[in-house]
Amino acid sequence: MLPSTSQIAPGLMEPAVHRVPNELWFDILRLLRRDRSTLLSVSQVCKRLRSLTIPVLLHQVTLDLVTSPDHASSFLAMLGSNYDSGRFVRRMQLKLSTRDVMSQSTLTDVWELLKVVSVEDLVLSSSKLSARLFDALITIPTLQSLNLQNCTIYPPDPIIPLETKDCDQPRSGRNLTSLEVTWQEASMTSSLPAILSRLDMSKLQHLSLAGSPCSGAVTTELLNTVSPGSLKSFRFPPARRDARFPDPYGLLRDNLVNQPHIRHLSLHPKIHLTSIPADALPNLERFEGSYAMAELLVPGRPVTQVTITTESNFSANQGDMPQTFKAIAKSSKPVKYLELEEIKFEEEWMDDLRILFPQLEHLRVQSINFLSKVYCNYGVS
Amino acid sequence: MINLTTSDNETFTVDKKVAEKSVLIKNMLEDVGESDQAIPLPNVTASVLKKVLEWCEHHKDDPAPPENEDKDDTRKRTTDISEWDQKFIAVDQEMLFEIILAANYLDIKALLDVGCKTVANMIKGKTPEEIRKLFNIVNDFTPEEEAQIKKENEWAEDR
Repeated sequence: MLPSTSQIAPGLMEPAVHRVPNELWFDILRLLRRDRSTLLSVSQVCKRLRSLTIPVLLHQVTLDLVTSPDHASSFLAMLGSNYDSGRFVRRMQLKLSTRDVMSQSTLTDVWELLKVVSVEDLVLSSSKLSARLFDALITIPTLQSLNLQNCTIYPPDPIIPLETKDCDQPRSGRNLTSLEVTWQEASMTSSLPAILSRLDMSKLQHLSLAGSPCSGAVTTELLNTVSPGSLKSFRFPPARRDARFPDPYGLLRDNLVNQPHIRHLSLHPKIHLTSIPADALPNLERFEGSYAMAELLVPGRPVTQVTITTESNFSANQGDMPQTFKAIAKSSKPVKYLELEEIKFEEEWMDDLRILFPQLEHLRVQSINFLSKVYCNYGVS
Repeated sequence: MINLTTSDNETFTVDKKVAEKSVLIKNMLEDVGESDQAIPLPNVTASVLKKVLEWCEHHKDDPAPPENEDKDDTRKRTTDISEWDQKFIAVDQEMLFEIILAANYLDIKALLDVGCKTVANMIKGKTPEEIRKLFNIVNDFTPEEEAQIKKENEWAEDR
């Protein structure tokens, strides 16, 4: 065994390796945090090193309980008596399903697990959850960041007309500051209102919703869950218009007007706002979206980073030098980062770009750093 | 110049700037002021202090690390030890751990990082038995406990 420092009589004759205190071994093991295989080896060396390794192993936990349901019980076993080590779990990535796949014993383990961990950052991937289990997940009191990747609540709640909605419905996740929801299948969007309506979004600073287009009903529900004034970053998906519901992009514009602290705004390229008040988004620093929205939202605002995500070339009437660049140059601060994801870039624009953006540090076109490539060709360092 | 006396009663006279790479010595000098009296270092032997001072001399002009440095960012890569430091720390295992203990006692964070990274690199990729052999550690698990540990570790394997 590796003697504990308390067991060693002070004296310089003891080998130095045995005089290394626990906190230094812990620092060494933390360096191996990403090397799970080595950490598992260290955890089998002796009792003292196992007790020091477990907090490092547990800091970030990934459990796929759909393909390996027995991992729930082995994980709980590592938490020790009374599951004391659950307090070391800070980040957890879970894949689970309450529909058909998981046995009752695994579900019991999951319930136990949710009671004992101190997760701050939770990622749920491809999970099918009962409303009850989802409620338990978001009730973890330490939870600050929730990332839902292709998750559904089964069965989804029926969409309640706004006028009959119970505004006093209790919500969970009171410390949540970051929420990211991504989905691929359109059918998953029907779960979004059920997910968001359960969350206390009053402290939410970062909200990212990305996936296939949402119906008018879902978009209306989503935008009604966002608290005015709290957001610092916001990503929003496209919406399908539906005559039975208000214009979704009109609602989005109204929502943006009530979010003066937004610094980072990302709008799906299909989103088109017809107008926005000049005094809206006064702190916008970073914009992602279509060239048309860049022309609307960048001028007069302190934007220093712009990413154009339009899935086609500039419109034909933009002339020799796209007016989008001229509009972006009207930012109230010098633009330093410009990224054009899908646009066909003409190298002859470079001379004018140098004049429009004298402080440009990055020009990325389809992931290539055009600035170094082309500026070098033009003899500019 | 500053005088430092080791546990085996050897005295080293060093430039103040070099000695102040140690936060412990720097704080002591600030507390007691300039003095001809040697600063006793009862936890460090002469052979270890000599190595530590060699490191301090080489790094005396390095900028001080930021106070709120995030350990996750700065310590996550275990291989980023400068070439000079790698040569410096290429010593026998006893001296390596003595340097780590001295760096910890003297509060020289950058030297402690070099030592910890070196030990982490030594452990990397080794089996439990190889680690025991490397550090002369006795396996104090019973066979039953070993079986239990293997079961407990199952969830974390193959990731």
